Amino acid sequence: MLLKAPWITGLLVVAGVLSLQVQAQTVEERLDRIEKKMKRDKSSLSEKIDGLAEQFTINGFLTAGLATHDGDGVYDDTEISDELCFHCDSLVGLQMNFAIDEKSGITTQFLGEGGTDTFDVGMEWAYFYYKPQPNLTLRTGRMRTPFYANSEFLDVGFAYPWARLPKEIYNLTLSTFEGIDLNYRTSAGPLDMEFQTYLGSAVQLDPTYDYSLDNAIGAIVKTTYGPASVRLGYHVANLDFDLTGDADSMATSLAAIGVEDLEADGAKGSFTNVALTWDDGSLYAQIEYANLKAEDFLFRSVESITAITGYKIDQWMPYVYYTHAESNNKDEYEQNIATVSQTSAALTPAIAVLNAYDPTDPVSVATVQTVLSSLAATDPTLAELASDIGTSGGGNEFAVAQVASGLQDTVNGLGAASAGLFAANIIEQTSYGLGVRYDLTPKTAVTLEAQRFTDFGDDLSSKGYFKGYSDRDDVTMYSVVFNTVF
Amino acid sequence: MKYATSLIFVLVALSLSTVSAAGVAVVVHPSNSAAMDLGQVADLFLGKSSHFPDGSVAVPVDQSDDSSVKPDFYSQAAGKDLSQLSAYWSRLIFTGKGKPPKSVYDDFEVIDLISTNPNMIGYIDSAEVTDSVKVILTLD
Repeated sequence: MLLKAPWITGLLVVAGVLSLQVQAQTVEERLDRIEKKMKRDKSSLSEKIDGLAEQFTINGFLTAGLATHDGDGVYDDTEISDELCFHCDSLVGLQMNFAIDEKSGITTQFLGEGGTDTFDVGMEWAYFYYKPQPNLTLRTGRMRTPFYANSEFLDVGFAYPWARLPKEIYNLTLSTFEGIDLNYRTSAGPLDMEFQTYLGSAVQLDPTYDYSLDNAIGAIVKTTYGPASVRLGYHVANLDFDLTGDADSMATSLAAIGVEDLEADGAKGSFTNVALTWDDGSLYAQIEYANLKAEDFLFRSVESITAITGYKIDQWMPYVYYTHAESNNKDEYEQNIATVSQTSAALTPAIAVLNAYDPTDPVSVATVQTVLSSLAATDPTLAELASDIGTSGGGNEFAVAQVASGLQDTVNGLGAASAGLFAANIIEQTSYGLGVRYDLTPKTAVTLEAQRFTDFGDDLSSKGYFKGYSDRDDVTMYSVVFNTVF
Repeated sequence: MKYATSLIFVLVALSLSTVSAAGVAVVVHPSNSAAMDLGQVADLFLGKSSHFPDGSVAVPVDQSDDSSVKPDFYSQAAGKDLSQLSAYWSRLIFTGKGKPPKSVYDDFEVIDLISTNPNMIGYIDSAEVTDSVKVILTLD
């Protein structure tokens, strides 16, 4: 029989093997079920504990990175230099939400940022919220200033592809404000609309000068249609400065020649932001445009754009991006530089005349008198001195010397202002980035990125967003960043 | 004969296993008469809406990341893998704009909960569907 029908034997052997496998499978399945049951019991226990803690939720995020670049200087406020930096991108955030009842609660967020020796911990957010309706939220307290498309989660590296958000565009450091806001959301079919408006103020303490945004007001409209979304934002604020030290003397010099009164309250600033996003699960693309206009030179008035695209293939997402930032007040800057150099040029011979004052020489007395009279246009007290010299036929050496040294201080202050203050705030920078993000688990990812900085502006002396540089060569920055949410 | 029985058993088991890998069933309480399309279901699970089409409150029940149907469900309903899903939620959690749905361990827990809660909606392996829940949508 076996010889007559060898195919039957073959079939029977296969069937036998398969039935053994099935038996093994059923045993495995049973074990699997028992295991699942155990996990279930465990999870229902943890569920009960969750239930008790339902009013209180904690979420967190963590970023650990290392970064370096091959150039000169330190990159903006990141501390990234040509040495390998482990703390520059590192941060940990803890957000706690305490629900008072179904409609209201309190949210706080603590943020710890890596420093050279320690973590600086600060309270980033602390606000009270009230939801009269599911689609309407009112908040008051300390919140994130909604300047940019990725503002509200700008510390949560897991939420976006970049190793760090491009500084060319994400450069307003006033990331939190105190005030009130209103969020409204509505949807009609596939169309989803979000509206946000806020009113508040923010204070920035800076080593060189403190400044604040008062009466900041803004509105954002975000429309989402399937994978596409458009976000429009407009903000205005009053900029106030509290100047000290060198900045103060520069400001006095500038005010004296009528270039700019930096300490005058109520200088206005406006900020426009437009972002287009496409995210269909595979293709990700975002273009964001920002235009910051400030009436004062202590703020960088910058127009900037960034565009990124990436494609998700399983756990990998390779991406490329481009960014460009350029001061939008270069003309004004050049005009101010011209005014400064004209004023300096006009004052220099006057200072020379005053320094050479000889009360015994009638010619010197006459020239000094003329010079003082001409300066009286800007400082009326000098007219008195001029006429005093005229009536007494000389004298007043000390007063004249004082005027000369005062003018010299002004010239020095103007020189410092044009070299330092103006130049540092007039910037240009382009960068190109290439990176890949790899999802280790659904809640952890690692990102490798290279970014090339170039085009710092031929007619400028600044080096884009780099500080403490001595050459203006192109720079390539390398970053490895690990992100997790929990 | 014994082998033939085994063979049939094997074939049945194989065909069953292909069935069980075939689909994700969106389930509600048997008393719930909601008719929903995939987009509406996705909106509930992504926190974009919180009501059934008839206006009653809808409470989505999610599954843990260990679940074998979760990746299928979200890739079809929202075009997101689990990592994109947690990125999506982190954008909402850390802006105070939303919280992800509560998740339970597996299909059996989903069935347990939904069979006793008329407001809940969940998704399970379509091979695990029982009489205690009602299927309103089946995904491939």
